[in-house]
Amino acid sequence: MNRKIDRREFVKTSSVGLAGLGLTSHKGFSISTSKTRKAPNILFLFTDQQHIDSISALGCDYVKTPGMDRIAQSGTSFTESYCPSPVCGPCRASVYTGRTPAEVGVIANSHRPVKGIPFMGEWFRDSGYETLYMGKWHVPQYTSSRIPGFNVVFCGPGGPGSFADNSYTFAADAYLRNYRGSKPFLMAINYMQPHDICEWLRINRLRLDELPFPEIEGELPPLPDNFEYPEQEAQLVKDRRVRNENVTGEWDELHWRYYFWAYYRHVEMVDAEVNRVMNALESANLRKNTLVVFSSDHGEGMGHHQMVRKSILYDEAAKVPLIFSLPGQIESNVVNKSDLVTLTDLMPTFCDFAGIDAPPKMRGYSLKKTLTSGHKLKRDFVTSEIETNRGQMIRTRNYKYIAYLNDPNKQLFHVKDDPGETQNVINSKKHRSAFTDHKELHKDWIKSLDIPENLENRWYVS
Amino acid sequence: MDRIPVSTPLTPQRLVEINAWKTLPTLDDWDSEPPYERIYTAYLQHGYVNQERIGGMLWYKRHATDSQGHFKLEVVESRFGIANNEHTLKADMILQEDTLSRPISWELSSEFSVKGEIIDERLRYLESGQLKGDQLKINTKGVIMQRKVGKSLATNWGLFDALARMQGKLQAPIELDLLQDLSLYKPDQTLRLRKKRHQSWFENQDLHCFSLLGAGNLPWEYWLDDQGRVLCAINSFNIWLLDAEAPQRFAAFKEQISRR
Repeated sequence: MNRKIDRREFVKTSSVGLAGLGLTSHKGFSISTSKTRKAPNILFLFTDQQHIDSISALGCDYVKTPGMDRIAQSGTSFTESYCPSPVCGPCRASVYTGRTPAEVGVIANSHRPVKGIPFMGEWFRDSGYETLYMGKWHVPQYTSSRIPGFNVVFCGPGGPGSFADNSYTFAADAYLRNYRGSKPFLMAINYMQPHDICEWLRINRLRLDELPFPEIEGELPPLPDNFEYPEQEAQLVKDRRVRNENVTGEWDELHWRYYFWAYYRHVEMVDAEVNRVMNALESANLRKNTLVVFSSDHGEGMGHHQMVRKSILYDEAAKVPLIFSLPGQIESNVVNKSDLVTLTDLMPTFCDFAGIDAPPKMRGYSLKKTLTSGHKLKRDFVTSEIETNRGQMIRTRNYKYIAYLNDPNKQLFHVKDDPGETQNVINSKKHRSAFTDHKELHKDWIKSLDIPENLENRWYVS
Repeated sequence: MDRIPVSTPLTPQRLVEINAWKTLPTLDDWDSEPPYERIYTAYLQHGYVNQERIGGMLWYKRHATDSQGHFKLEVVESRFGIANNEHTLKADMILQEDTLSRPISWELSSEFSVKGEIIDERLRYLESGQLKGDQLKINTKGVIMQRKVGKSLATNWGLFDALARMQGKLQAPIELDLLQDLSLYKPDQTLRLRKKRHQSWFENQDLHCFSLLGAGNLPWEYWLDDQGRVLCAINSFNIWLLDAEAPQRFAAFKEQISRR
């Protein structure tokens, strides 16, 4: 939803006579606020590092997720859903602004966002919402009590989610049960699980002589079909595989499968929290007028391409679960397998459901019509970026193109026939025109972005 | 700062090796005859050597058992947030003195504060609950949630007492449903005594290890001495260490954070 208005021009225009137009002002941006609408509450449940295939109702056989299942069964889930960057900070900066990580200036963890781009909390607060935030932030601090526009209820101890997530739920549960409804609320619960798998990997690095819990042997999931990886990969991707403190260097198949088992237990832990929040929402009679959105900031390697963790552009890290539920408006128990969607769609979608204009220069689209009336999304591609933006991904209907700056090892996967991304077809005559098209698409995409002048990134200056 | 991965699963021995357990508890400090108190420091281990940090504190008082075989367990669990905020859970529980210290009734409160001041009344959570037969009933602000549970219901806090009494008696694994923090129901857990995992570490005693595994949880390991005192409980990288100095340690940590 690029409104094609230059930001400076927009600010200049909107700074005149806002009050007379019935608009409120937010740092030079305008927000329309309808007095007649009954705006829904928005409950945004955002996990950390959750693989797209880790929800039992959506087909994962190795996990029990009654909490996520009830959202999926009462709403619409996407299978072609991507994060704007498979790293915490950049993704979150993007999700909470609706702009790309580079546009916000957060191309890696610990980078500060540029000024002048409104954050979701500010936008909704100034539109009459009560805005609440629990949990992790990471833009740039891991946890913070100062998040733009949000009343930060509890930011947590900055440690494992298995310790902290339960506190976020207690806060959310109490708030929902005590809610009296003078304003609609936007509640963002940013759980830290299943990110704890990073800690788990560091304490399970060395070769196992035997399973520490032999009784689970029959429960261990198998290796994925795409456990092997393509020869032609960018050097940064190869480095990523052997980096990470060489976590998997001593592992055998049993150890890999033990890691999968442990990962699903991490997912189940946060699922129990999600389930409890949903119980509270229903107990407080808020379910019918609350848009529930469930997603995660990025995926997890899970042995696909022999990867653990994230920071790569293969689907295991770049794809994320994405589910919307609003009884009576969003069709229940639907799995949308055709529309390409991205987490930059969240900001315009939230605004659309709330009945307010989205901020300018949104990089995503509102999904409201798609969710409420099956409207086919008019979109050709989605993107993601990584490694301080040196890696970029263009995903179209049938292909995925991955390019790293100054690295000749580009990749093109015909994902329709090769969803596991195992055959790089970039040198195939059959796919030559697709390669050319995607290179051009990538070039045009980069040109279209509004990148801060001081961002040190050669994609944008060459 | 060097970041050296811990590399192996955490056990009491490994905690000593990575300097997580710097002060050993003194056995004399801990009486095992009710009424007694226990205090634990919660360490959060990020998987790097020497980089654990304090996350909170758990205190409980186990009262004497009455003529009906019931006893009271008072619990206070504090979790400390980076921004000087603190989450406190308080529970008064009546438990049955049976194998798993089955809960009979309880009251639970949860509140958030900064330097002792409640930050938002709307975040105060109150719950009362009871278990009759296989019916679990939880009342939160007049809204009653009722569910059928497995006959062997345990709580994470009550397990500390149950394990103390179970020492040396458990033979076969026990199937149970867990009511975690009296608010998260997690069925299908299994408690086992891991005989092969004893290790000589503490004052030349063997330590006994119980594990709790099941859906919705990373494995818990409870390490006890011969007198049935739970010296530590490890949930992958969250570690509860029996610690007489926990209150002072917690207060000093909070002071350190508040100066940042």
